[in-house]
Amino acid sequence: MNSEAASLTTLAITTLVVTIGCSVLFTAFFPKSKYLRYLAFVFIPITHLAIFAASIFFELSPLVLNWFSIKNLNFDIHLSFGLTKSSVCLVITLVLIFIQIPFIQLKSTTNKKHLRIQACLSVFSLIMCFSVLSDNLFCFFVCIECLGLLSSFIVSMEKSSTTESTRVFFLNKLSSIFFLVAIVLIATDVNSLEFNNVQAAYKSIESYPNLRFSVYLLLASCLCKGAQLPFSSWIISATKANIYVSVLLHTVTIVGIGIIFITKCYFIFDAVALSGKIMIVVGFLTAIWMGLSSVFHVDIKKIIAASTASSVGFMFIASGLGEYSTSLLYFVCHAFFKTIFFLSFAYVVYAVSGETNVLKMGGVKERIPNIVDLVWVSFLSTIGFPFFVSFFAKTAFFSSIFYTENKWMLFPTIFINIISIISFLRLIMLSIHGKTRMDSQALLHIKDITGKPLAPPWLFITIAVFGSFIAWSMYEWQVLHFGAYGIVYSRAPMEYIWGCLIEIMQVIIAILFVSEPTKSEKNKTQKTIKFVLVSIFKDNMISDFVSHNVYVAGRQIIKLLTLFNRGLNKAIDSSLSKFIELSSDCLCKLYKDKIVNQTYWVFLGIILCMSYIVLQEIYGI
Amino acid sequence: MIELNLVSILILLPILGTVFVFLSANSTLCKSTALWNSAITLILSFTLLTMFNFSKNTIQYIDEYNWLPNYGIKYKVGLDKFSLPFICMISLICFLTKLWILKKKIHKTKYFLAAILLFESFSIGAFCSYDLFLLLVFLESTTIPIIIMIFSSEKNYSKNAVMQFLMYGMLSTICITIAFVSIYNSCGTADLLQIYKHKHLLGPIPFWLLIVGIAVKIPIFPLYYWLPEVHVQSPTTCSVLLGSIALKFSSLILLRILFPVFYDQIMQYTKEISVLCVISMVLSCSNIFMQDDLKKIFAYFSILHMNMCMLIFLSGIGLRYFVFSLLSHSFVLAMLFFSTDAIHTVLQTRSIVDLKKNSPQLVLIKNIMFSNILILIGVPLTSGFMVDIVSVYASYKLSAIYATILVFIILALSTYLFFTYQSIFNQLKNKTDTKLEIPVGHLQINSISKKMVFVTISTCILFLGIFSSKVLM
Repeated sequence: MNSEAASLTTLAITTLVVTIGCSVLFTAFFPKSKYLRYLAFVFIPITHLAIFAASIFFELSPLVLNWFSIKNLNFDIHLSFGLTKSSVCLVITLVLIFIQIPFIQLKSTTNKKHLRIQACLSVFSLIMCFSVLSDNLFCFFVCIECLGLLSSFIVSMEKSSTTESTRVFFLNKLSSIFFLVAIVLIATDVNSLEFNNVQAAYKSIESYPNLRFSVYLLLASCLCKGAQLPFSSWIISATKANIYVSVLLHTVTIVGIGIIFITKCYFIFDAVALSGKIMIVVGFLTAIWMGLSSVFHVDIKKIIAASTASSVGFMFIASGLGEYSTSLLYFVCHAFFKTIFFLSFAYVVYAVSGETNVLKMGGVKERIPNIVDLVWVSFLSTIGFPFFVSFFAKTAFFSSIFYTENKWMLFPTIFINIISIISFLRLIMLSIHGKTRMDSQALLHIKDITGKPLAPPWLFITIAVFGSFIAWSMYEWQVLHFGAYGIVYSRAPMEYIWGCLIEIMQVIIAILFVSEPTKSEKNKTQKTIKFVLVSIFKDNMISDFVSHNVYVAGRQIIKLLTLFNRGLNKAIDSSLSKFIELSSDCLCKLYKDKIVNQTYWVFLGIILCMSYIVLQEIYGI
Repeated sequence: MIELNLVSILILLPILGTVFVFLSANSTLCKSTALWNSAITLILSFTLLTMFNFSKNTIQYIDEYNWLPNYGIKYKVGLDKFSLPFICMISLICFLTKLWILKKKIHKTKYFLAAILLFESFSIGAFCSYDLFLLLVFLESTTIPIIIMIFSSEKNYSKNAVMQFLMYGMLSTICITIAFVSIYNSCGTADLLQIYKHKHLLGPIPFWLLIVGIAVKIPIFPLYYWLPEVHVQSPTTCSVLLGSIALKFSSLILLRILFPVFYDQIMQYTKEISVLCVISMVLSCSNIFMQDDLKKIFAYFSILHMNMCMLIFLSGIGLRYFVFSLLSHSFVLAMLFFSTDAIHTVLQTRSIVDLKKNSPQLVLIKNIMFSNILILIGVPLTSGFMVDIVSVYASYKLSAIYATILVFIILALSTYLFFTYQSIFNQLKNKTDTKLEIPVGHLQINSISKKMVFVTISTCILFLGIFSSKVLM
């Protein structure tokens, strides 16, 4: 029985890898046929769905492959299936399928670059699935290394994206370096990288000298992958890539891998209490900062990317409170609703022939009625409208904050949520409604989607509603976890009614905040809301004193924040490229003038030697 | 009656090949003769790999004949499990260099090919020999073919390189020779297996002399200046042989003499040697940032990588990881230097500034550079990834500071290389930039033999990366 199960696991994993390998090889032949592309990039993920679904019902034993070993320390690839793992993999693969379909439908002119991007996306989601299935620190490390490299290479496929892709590369490499050092620390102390052995070691953390430091390194790595505050610049840079790439990057895969790691290895972060506090503080700061900056960006992709980072901040807050299951539920629901939102705006961008600047859009409501419907439904599912996709996640999040000791945290989180709703409203108003700001040439090329291409997004919305419901019921049955559930409490049905009220209140507050209460008349409410929504963010049209002041104050805050952000980015950039170039220029000049010769290097080396000896003498390093 | 084992045949075959090369009439015949010769050597070395008994811990295939019986010096060759992979690597890379120059015009073809064959023979001999003086003779004879190769290149300024190479080489030769003679005097025998038994008789002087000798060959900090100069000014085949084979003679001395004989001294002075290694890593990394020539970048990368191997050796986690990282270094360097040659034949330049101006026109160069970058960064499934992990682990065993320095070097280097690659191939071009005229020569790279070389080396790197547990066993 046992060997049978093991062989089944091997079969499943090899099928996954081989099919993806086939679809990658497939790009080399450069097929013009649409049906072949459907076969390679949609049918194969559907088989993966079947495999993951089957793995829920069959008990599959773990698969252990030895990569290499140093003495007794094994660096293994260790994968195992389970209910939660398989469900998360199902979600990831579902999102992949519904990204690939519009990609094939809307990019009708085949280009080798598009094929390559599609293959990259398939590989990307499979690696993400492996990271979910992994039961070993080394296996997880390989996954995050691959994801970081792949994401920077996908971004670099766009033209003139050197700084962006280098920033993505640098921050992802930094996070994997943190992870590598943590692995080395754990390996020298525990002499094993399996989760079980590591968990046993962290229970008696005081007896190991290095483990406390390794917690902070792992936390830094997760924060880096989750685009949290000191490292958040890469998520905005990554929007340089194709919009379909952004959908996958910013919803389920690389942004969420930190959360996946924290929920899988909760024992590491439970061992040191300070790590939870760091998570809460950083999560809060990021959520506020990125939420506010999403109100003031003008690029569609950047707006949604910033709001993603703020959502990930919510997940970090939940994890910091010890509510690992809630953060996992939020991750799953976020995958659904952010994909819907991003995809509907991918259709909008398609309709206006590739324009992503919201200030050059607007006034296309009558021309693209189908897409507008889609956008509004996706808006409802994103803001947490009762019994839509994100409702369960947000209600669970708020109520789990309510049940902890820090009840006051409810107000800032609700405030952040309101800000994100405002940013979404503004995005929709500016891009679709109001007066048009497009060129006359561009106006001619507006095209709505009709017929077959309309089916996949609606199908995905229905799947997402059911999927989030299933995820929520798993959460309520307390099976949605990788080992730690969080605070166990029973909810009364009343709470969900409260949740409905809170969500609706938030939407109303957001609209009130945006609109002018004095001028609104009953019969003209709709028009005024639209008018003001557009006008509040433009200097010349603001009449109301209050909204003007709010706007100015908000703008000042944002200016400060962006200055800080820019400084941070500049520091990263300059330390990378400009500093290197400048210093190399100086050194090259010296070198050419023969002031610096071999003797210089010898001299420098001697200085280093001397300083080492001095350090050794004083501090005994 | 003389009975020769397969090992001796491996040493003698390339020498026989040189005779045939000198006898053959024209240059194409020369090339094919040399190619067939080393193909046979390659096949023989891989049959050795299948026939070898890895479970035994002793020397196998021993050939022993008296050479200078008055002094007790013998011709003694054999194989152990550490030298066998090196021999396969040497024969493979020599075969690939000949395959590479198959369709290429070279100056003084006969001398050049004879030099490669002689180099192959001597280096295989050095890795097999179990006699102190035989080892010395083989080791020092390898400098002659390299000098011939540098001289046979058409450039005028190669005199400087030869001078550098000779000066530093002489230093290491003198040190190693004196050390060997003193070992011979105090032990009274030249047989390495006998010396292992008499190691308590030896003083500290030969140890330090040998350390200086290998510090030139690795190269470690104060003595590393010659390597980039020689690499830049020598022809590609020469730098491939130099980078992937000649640097490994340092590891030969480490494995054959220093590790078994002077084990206690190495353990005693680990700290001092490893400081030098880390310093040379830092210096070579900082040197990479300001180079314009691709070959110089790769040469400094080679220094960095060799010092990482040294750290693995010094940490004492196991000799097999040391050997593995050296093999990885060989294949990676061969790949890098072959690709610089490919770029040079197409664009007639190796400068990054020139590449920035006109390379995006060629998909071929982009692909070559892309594979290079993947290898240099250490993507999972390549051997560099494993070497990175093992060297960080090893350096942490030595000291936490070394691990931090190494990690930052890896981070800075990979980011710099990625940035350089992106700025070459992914920047929007100004129309005012002058473009170099591309000669028809780029068709040369499309020949099957050159593609074969790239495919073979990258398969080797992937094999080392994926099946590393089997290689390590």
